[in-house]
Amino acid sequence: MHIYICENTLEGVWSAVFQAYADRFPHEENKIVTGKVSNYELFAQYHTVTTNPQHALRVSQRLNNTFGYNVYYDLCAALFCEGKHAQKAVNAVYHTIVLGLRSRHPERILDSLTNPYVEAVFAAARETKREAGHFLEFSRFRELSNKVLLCVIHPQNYVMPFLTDHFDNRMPLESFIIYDADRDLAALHHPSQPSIFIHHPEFAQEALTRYSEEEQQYEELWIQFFHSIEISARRNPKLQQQNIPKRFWKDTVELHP
Amino acid sequence: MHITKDMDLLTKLNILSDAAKYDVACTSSGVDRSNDGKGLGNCIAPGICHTFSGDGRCVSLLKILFTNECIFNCSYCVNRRDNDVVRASFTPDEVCRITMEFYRRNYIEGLFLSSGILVSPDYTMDLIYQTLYQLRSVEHFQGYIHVKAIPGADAELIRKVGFLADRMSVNLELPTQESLKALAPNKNRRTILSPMRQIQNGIAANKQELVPYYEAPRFVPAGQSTQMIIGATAENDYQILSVAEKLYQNFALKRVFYSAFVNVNLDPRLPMLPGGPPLLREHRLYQADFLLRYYHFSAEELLSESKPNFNVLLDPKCDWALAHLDYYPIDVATATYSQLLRVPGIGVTSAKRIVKARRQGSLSYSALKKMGVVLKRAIYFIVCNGKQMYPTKLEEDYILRNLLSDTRTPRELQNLTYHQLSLFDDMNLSTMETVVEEIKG
Repeated sequence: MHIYICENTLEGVWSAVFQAYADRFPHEENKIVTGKVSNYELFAQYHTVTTNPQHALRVSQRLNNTFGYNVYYDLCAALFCEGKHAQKAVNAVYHTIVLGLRSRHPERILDSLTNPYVEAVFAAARETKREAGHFLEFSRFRELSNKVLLCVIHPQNYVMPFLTDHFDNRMPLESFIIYDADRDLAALHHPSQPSIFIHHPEFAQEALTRYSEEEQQYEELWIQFFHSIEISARRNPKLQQQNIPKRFWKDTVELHP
Repeated sequence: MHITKDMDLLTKLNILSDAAKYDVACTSSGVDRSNDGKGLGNCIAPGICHTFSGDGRCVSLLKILFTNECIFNCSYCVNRRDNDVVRASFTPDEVCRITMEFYRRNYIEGLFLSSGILVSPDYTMDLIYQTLYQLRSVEHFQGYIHVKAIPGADAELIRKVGFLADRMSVNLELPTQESLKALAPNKNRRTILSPMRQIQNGIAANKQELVPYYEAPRFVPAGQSTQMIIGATAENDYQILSVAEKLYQNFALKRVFYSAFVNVNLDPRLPMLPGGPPLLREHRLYQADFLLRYYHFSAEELLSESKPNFNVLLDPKCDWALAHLDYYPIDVATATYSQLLRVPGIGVTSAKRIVKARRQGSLSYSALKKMGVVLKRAIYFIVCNGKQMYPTKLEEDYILRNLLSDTRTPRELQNLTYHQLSLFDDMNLSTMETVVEEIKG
């Protein structure tokens, strides 16, 4: 048994996959784990993989070419999962790649849901994509006094790439910042350019609370609209909470506690 | 009538969104459009709901009326001519400003613009056209726009609006000609159906054009929808569903929406609904509507002249399955896609997953569960690897009993459960009172 320990990033995992293929041990006996190992296994050899961008790039190119964009997208989504399904995801992604490269139709590998590894990838990817979808819906931008739009989110999974993908296309001419408060990660978007990611950005906190003059007015209008659109004869707070779970409320304007 | 000219934006938005809230359609689906880098907005085919109001309905579009002044006098409508409500109108500038500012804050997915009839249908339709033109050409808005075609408006105006909007809708309001005559005297079937036909033909013609000319402007790319009011008139579910089916078949509609009637005007011609709007009925109609559109069912299969209304306790698909037990059990390994769709507990997504997964390996009950099949409903109707999950009987009473104990009773029916009998309980049974009076007398 060979266990590869790698960094918990996309590049880290792809480096470990590269290493596992380079070492040529039987894949069935390999495992990839991320971060610190809390409980060592008997009769296993541990290899610590240092992240290598060149290796990672080669793996991701190979995956893109062989599996196609859609499968690659789902594999990445599975790796971005940090919630309930995160634990199995990394190793499952590795074994799904192994399965796929051996199969005659690698582009259809994620359809074999009867396989436990594929199923784990599917579940993790679904969790991430579902939350990312919710943040496309429920995240709100506020206009700062310099006309820059600021959006603060608190997601459970690493959904930032999905959000920048979406908003880069949607608002190409706006300057905006999306800030993941739990991970201390910001995405900055300048007009007509793709977003840049910055870890541990040093914003002037005071500037982030200085909203533009109209901001208050539009928030009031929105809250007014939100309340007047409700049909009181059909009132159903349970259904509302089912559709927009409470953990998203703090990132919205209209339901902000 | 109360008309105020100088009103601030907040008051106007309050009045005109409040007046628009009984329109159901709030979807932003059906069109995929990327931003061209020169404006604001894009569209995503599944649509995006941005929030959910206190009644649990999604808020996807900025749903407003252009004006709530109206020359029509439809008895169910809150904005009818005879009602003494505060009237207001937006200007095209105001609509554009609110839409753009809301959109860039990610409050909304686009604009839903309807209107009362101001002066004449043509005049109103032209105002709507001007607003959309400004939004698309001056502000370069590329988000979703859903707009109402005003019944009776000129065909040329409707055509021009169609090239700016993503979805158009004409409300059918009431399923039959007689009800329409009784409740909406200014509308008739012809003025409603002719713009509907025009839009349908426009979409079909545009599809032909798009083949040779890739850059040709797209006419109502997200298709058209309509809406019917449920519970204001005496039509039964079978009639309503048949009308919906005809609309899908003959007018190629994308969606038919059903709106549980809320008696806002207390009009004597309309029914009083002491139990609130008929939400359960509306829910069953939506379920059946999905069966028509995605599950290869037809209206005649679900209901008939002899059984004109839906079962309140069971959803239409379970109800159909229980009445057709000879069709089951189905082997998930060999059944066709449309056979799988007829199993309660298997939906479109899980049926597609099953069809794909069984090509790669044999299925098991645990795998089915992970694919999203609701086993507690499906187990009575399927076999997997030639076996049932556990022994069940293919008997109507047995399955019905088990299904009812496993599913939540609809909210409207929760008061109908069993109680410990008490001597002094009223239970709202009017017959009891008469019995008591008889004893006293």
